[in-house]
Amino acid sequence: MSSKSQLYIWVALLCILGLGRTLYKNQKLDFPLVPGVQEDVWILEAQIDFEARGDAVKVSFGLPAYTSGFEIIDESVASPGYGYYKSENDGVARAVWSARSKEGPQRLYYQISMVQRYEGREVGAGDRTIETIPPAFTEEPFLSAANTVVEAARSRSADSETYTREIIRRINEEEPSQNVRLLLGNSFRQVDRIELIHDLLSRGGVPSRIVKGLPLGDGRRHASMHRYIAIFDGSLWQLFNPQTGEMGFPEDLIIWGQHSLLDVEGGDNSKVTISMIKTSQSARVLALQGISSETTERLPLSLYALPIDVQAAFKLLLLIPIGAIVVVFIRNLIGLRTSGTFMPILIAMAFIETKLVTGLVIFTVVIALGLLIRSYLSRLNLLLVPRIAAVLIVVVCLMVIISIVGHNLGIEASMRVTLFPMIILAWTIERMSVLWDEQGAKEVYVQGGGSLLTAVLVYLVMTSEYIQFYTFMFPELLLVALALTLAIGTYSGYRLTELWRFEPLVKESE
Amino acid sequence: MKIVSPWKLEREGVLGMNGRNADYVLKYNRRKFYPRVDDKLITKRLALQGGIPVPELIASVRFNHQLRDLKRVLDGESEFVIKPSQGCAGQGILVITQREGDLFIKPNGATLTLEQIKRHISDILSGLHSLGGQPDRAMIEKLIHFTDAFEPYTYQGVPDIRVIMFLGYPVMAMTRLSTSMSDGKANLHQGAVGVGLDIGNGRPLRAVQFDRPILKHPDTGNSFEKMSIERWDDILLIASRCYELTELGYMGADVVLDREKGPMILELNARPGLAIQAANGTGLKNRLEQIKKLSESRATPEQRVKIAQELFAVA
Repeated sequence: MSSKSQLYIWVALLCILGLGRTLYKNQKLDFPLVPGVQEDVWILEAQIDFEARGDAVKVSFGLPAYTSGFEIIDESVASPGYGYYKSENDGVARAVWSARSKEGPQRLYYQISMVQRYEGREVGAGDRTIETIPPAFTEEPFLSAANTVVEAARSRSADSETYTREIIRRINEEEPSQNVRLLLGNSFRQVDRIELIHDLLSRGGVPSRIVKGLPLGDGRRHASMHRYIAIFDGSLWQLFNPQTGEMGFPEDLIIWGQHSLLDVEGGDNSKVTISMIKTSQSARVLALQGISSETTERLPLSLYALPIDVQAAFKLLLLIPIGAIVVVFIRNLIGLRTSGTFMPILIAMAFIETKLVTGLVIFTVVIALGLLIRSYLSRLNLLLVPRIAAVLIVVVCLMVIISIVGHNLGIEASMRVTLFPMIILAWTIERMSVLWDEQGAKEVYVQGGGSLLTAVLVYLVMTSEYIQFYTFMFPELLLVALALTLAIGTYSGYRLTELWRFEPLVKESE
Repeated sequence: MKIVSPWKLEREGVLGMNGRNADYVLKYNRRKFYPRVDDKLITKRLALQGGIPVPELIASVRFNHQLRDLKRVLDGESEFVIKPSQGCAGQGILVITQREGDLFIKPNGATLTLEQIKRHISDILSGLHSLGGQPDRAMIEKLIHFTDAFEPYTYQGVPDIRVIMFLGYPVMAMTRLSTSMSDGKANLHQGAVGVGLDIGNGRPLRAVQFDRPILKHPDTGNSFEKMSIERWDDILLIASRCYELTELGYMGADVVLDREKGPMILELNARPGLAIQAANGTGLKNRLEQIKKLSESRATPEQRVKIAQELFAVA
């Protein structure tokens, strides 16, 4: 069989395999063929730090008790060397890590991703146990002061809701009554306002509890928990803001529950840091993740059976073949010259991290400055490898300087310079400089421009929502990409630039 | 910017880059024979064995420490060329035409010290100019004394004759003349002029710069019409004989004309450029197809040249 027909068979086979599996996933496993609507996804990460004493360690972390309005789509922990399980007790979920013996600083991560849905928000349905708390004020004069406040509030309210508002108003008054002042205490005996409200509510016969809540904010680091008062009005738990007395559920609030957030046995100085980001994802992809365990069973050899962080790495890795196809396209079908065949892909991947405009500016600045310095280095008569090493060191210095200067000028984007592959930059500078010496500045612009244009195109393709969707949802399409590359590999027709290059040849003979 | 439809190019038999690579270079040039042309020292050795004239080698340098002897090696040499053994596209070539004591003078008048020449060789050894950046050898050759025939048509530099060889048959030829724009280099994409030559008699057909037709040399202002190249049949013959040396089916041979020694092979190329088509005003494909049809017999180089001249003569 000739090599050509072998190749066609391969191309056909790869296309059938790739498209066939794509179709199978769509028809049988309900994988969507188009990305569809985007939804907001919150990713919360709790970082737990503590000092282990060298004995057995048990860490128990309270999980969000009630996430109505949110749908949890993913939960993961990172805790090398620890056993992990989730305990559920009286409707309260806790993440528990344990290890036989640990010493020194320890760090554990808990991550949860959820989609925001706006309907059906209420607090604590399903958990109606009402705690009775021991009254805080058992001695005079506090007891009678508390009773006076309760009586006054009760006489001014009709039900538990208005009673709660009245109590919160009285506690937060700018000029509180003498009784409240007495209860709040002075600088020697401080009473927590929210606990005082809690006490006065139970004293007035209103079932209440203090709950922790986490207000969401995109990109928030070191987020802190706020405390809220929840009362049971006979059928539902209602949430009150203990400062304003406002009733109801703030839109971006996750209720963490009334239990302790973190218990560490066998360690000291424990602390939780919570950070969060908001991303948007295709609703249909999310729907699929919701049934991912089921899908994994039906599709055992799939990417989705891998751990989340490996999947995330593949999300980027799967885009590289697409970048390679763009390069093949540009070089073999269009005929643009680039400096270094696959260098544009690496540059494009740096652009993904830095964003396009920032990336272009940084790249041009580093290359231009590098060329200047390289032209001086060439006068010093250095051997090749030390010279490239020198250029590399200069590139790193340039990165430091750009970062520092940019930071002082308040240009935060300049800090992203570190994301560029510096060895590639150094080689590019060296090659461009030789090109300049040997073939003139024009060739440098042609090849440099060609590389940048290719990098931008690769970037645009790699960041396309659709491309990302297809490569991740249907990795089997890579086989089709391979078939396409093989097919272009045998193309012996003209390149686009040749239609211009050889134009005078045809015109004259006509 | 004007472009032309691919069908018209096809009809003209124009060979594109993809077509050259897929249908000729990949098919007719076996990878294992590439070093025979990519490494100019090997080419030179093979040519000498086959009795094909090449520029005389003064010395070859392989290690940096050999540079200590450079002063002695260059003693008495005032005209020489230093080039990388595995360079491409004319990169890394240093021409010295004169010497004043310890100073070496380039054709454009610039002077170099021995130190600078050593650094140039050291760059070559570390692979700066070689194809894949691998360590290379430097060769020091005697300067060719070019025939005066090209004098009116070239600005400094090294006029050479490129012959495209297919299965040992010369199919197309041109001469490359440097200009001030190409910085005295015979490199077409840097602005050197390409003049297409009639395979039949070596007479000029037409001239191009940057693939666009021109009538006069941009620097000397002379029209190319009267240009004539001596010993044309010998030029084609030594190019043709290279096929037996390299066994590469599709190849470009660069021939130079020395005043006393006649035509010599300067270097060979396994992936010759396509600009020769513009210089000849015709495509390569038809000629290559014609050769394919008759290649069954085992013709001698002399016979091949004769057949090709009959087939491709324009006038």
